[in-house]
Amino acid sequence: MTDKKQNWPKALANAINLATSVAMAFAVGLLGGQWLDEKFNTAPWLMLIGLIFAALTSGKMMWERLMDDNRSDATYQKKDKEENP
Amino acid sequence: MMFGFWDGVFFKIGPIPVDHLVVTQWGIVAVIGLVAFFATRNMQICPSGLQNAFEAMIVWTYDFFTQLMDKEHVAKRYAPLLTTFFLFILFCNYSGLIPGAAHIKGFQPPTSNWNVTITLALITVFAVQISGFQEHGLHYFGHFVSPSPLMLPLNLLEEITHPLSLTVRLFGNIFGEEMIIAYMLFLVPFVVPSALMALSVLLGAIQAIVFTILSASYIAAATGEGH
Repeated sequence: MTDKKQNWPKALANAINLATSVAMAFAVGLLGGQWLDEKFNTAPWLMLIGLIFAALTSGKMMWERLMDDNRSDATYQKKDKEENP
Repeated sequence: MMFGFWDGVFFKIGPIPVDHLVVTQWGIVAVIGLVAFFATRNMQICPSGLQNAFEAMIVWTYDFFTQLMDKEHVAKRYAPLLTTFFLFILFCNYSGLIPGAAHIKGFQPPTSNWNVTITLALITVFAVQISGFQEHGLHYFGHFVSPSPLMLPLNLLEEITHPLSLTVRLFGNIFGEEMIIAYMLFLVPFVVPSALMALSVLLGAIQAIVFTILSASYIAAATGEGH
């Protein structure tokens, strides 16, 4: 069976990136929404919209990460079948 | 004063004020430049000493970034920028370990001030957009409305989170570390802070690596086949 080559720089980058990007998406959504609420006197609606956008963006980032991993797994499995039919 | 609350200006170049952070960074750039100058001033076909160490480092960084970014030509194009990020941030972080840092007026590690970290993150943002444009042309900008124009706000928010996460992570870690060491030195001036300072040697290197790897992964994402 083919050894699944671990690309550790990529794995490390993915792990660190996802965690902080999700946190930052919520920070931008929350603080940006609060700032707009103060500016347009619409509290708390724009903050809530910001949070919804942040949650959707976080979900999108996680989904893309998952799809990348699935694609990578499929590539390894295909290679494995070709080498060991 | 500690940690950059002192915003003193050393001197002015025309209308531009030059503060302590800029002067500290000039010092760090001069040190890195001097080491590079001595390593390359008398290059030999069979390298030895500093030239050997630099050549080994450059070969290692090319291999490392090629592994991370998949495309070799992109890795070679951006390895000098990314390696410069690493060296500059490492030296900035370690400048906090020099006795007197954060205690002598005007001398603080540049990366413990968010103005410096956001500048570094903005350089990454420009590099990412330029690399994506170079690789895919105008099609690159299509990823902002991919898979549907309805995704534009989410894609823009995602793009904004990248430099912010780079900025906050580096600034927060180095600022926090400097604060803890300074308060420890104030409370227990001997022995105890040494353990934290030893830990900050590790932390300084980790933060430099993390910033560099993340910048490389953003460039890789912009130049990848997905766009």
